[in-house]
Amino acid sequence: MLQTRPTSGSFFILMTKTVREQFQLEIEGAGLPFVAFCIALNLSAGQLAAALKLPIYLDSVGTVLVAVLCGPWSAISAGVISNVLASAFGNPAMVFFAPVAAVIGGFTGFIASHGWFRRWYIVPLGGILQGVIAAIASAPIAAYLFSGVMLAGTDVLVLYFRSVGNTLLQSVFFQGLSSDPVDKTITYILVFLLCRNLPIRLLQRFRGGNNLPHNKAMDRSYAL
Amino acid sequence: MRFDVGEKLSLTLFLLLLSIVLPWHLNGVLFLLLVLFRYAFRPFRPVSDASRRRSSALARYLAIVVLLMTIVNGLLIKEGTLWPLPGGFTMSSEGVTFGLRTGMRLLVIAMSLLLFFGSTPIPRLAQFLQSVGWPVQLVMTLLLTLHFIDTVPDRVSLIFTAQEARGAPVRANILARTKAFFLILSPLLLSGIVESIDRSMALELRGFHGGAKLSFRGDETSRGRMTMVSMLFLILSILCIVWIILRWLLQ
Amino acid sequence: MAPSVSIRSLHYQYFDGAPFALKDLSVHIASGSCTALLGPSGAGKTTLLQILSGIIGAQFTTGKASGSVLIGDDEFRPIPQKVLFPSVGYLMQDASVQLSGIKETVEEELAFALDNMGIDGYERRERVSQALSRLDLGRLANRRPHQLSGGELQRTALASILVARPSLLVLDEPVNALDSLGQQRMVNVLRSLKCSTTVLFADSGIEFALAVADTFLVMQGGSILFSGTRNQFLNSLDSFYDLLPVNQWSEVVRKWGKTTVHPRVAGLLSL
Repeated sequence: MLQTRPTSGSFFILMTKTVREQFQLEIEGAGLPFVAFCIALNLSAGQLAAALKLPIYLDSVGTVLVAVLCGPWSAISAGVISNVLASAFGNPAMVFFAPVAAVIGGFTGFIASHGWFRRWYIVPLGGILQGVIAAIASAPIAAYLFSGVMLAGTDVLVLYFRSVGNTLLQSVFFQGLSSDPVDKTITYILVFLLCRNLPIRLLQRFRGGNNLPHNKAMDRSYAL
Repeated sequence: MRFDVGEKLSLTLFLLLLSIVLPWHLNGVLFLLLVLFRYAFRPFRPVSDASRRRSSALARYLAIVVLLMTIVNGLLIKEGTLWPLPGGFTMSSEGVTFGLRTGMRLLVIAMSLLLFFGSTPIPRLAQFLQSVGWPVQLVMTLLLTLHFIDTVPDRVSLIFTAQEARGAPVRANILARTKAFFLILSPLLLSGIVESIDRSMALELRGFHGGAKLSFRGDETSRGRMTMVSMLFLILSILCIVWIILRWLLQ
Repeated sequence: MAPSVSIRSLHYQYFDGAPFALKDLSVHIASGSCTALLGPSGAGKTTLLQILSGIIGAQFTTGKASGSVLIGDDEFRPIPQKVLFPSVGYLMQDASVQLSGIKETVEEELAFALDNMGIDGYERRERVSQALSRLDLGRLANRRPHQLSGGELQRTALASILVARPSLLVLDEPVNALDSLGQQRMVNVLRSLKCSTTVLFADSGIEFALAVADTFLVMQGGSILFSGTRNQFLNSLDSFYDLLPVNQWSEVVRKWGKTTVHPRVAGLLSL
């Protein structure tokens, strides 16, 4: 509990302290290793999709899992660390999109804590909204740092939007709008389906375990 | 000549900002200098064979992509001077300049980051981050991630083979493959959760609560203090930011 | 000073409505003794060990317990609510998970617990060196943990607990990954801890227990069926033929001079 009225100078310190406390609550117990596992999942899920020849990225599935099971602050950390490590392991541009990963983690954690992952029909809505927000957040970075060139197949879309008279920023934003909502909706639905089958005794080990419905039929099978 | 992690990080930040400030031809020169750095200066040499191969492959890939980017932008953007080409195509000066400007910037950005990450093992980076005040739990998360990065691909491969052996449609049509993707991800997530629970117990059973700092072997010189070199590069970086803002305001 | 352990009428459920993992369990473990906790899978051995380490109270927030646990002079009603490290050292069943996963050498792995205790300098080096030599890990000090064999991993995991010098050592199946030489090493280590440390270990077999323990507890269904000395245990073995691994009986008969066995076991062993 705060004993004093925060001044503008101490607000940042108090906010930072509150964020730190919230983060520690989110990662206590199984949360810390789980965040590490999910970061590795972010870096590996793309390989699995490629092995199955599926046209999806799913490089934020781990971040969304952390957001749902742990909370927004740990998801922000997971997203940022994932992007930094992706840069370290051969995709240098990823570090610049760390703010986008943070937005994904923070937004998903926020809506998960408000029950958006408890009803299956709200999950796709959350995914579409997340996709739009991700497109808005990534457009300035892609436009001003990379001039819209991300060394991916979607660069063709940017060229197309530019050729019909849009500015660079608009072109990058429209390109993001054409792919991010789809990718994020698929990610959200995948996480929902993965987590709803988890037994409650596993879900209860995480701070965000109540963010999900649970399948009673699974409860008998695990004795952890 | 020694560069600690903090100095390398501040140099990398400066190079990234410099790539935004410099025109494309100077970025090209800077890229060649960075390539030379990699071979000439010990602190920037890759620490492992894997990072050496990765950086060489990426540099070659990027050079080809920059060439393609310049040609494609020159063909598609119809602004500035248009140079006629055989077959009725035209190459625009604006498109070529745009491609070169973006491409050279990407090359410098990629090379700067490759130099940093290729010559700095993640545990050394974690040690530096802890010394500048990162929470111990975040440093632990970063280090544990390296463990999972080693084990998750093997686990994926094992589950993939096991699911294929029991008839999962891993090579059928796209809908079937999507179902197979879920069949692989589900046990992977479950095993990850179970291991996370066990690891958290093991850490707590050995007294880890995020209070005491983690110890690292070797380098005792990185204690988080600001060296003259770091300060110089940080000042130069600030000047770059000021220049970028001024240029944007005045255009 | 090695503590004694007294448990009175301990009941434990992992969550409301779950079957009891421990049912009205009462036992006394003498100070400095080495006690074997035997029984089939699902008997509650790991639950009991984890309660004594404090990890169950710390992490399983939905658990329901009643009774009391007394470790040395510290009484817990019903169970410890936080991990009792370093006074209680717990060796997990899976040695690969016990290690931190973040250290680059065995030596650093051993020092991890000391970092958490705030021990550094000369004392840190001395404790690590002692643990390395005690578990014969000297030549592996600079080896990467992921390069260790199963037996080496188990010894490293035990050494990583022993550096903290716990007064109560709780081991969950400490020899399951060890060959006969490794088991003999483990016997020597546990014998060397007698009197200075109270040891309680769970095992699914009986050979190792017979070699090192002086007190035996047999569990089934969350309760203690038997508590006694080695001779009392050997004389009562017939009662547990269906709880304990029968493939070890011929060895038990040969080594410990157990001449009478249950007729069904005799039939299986063709005695």
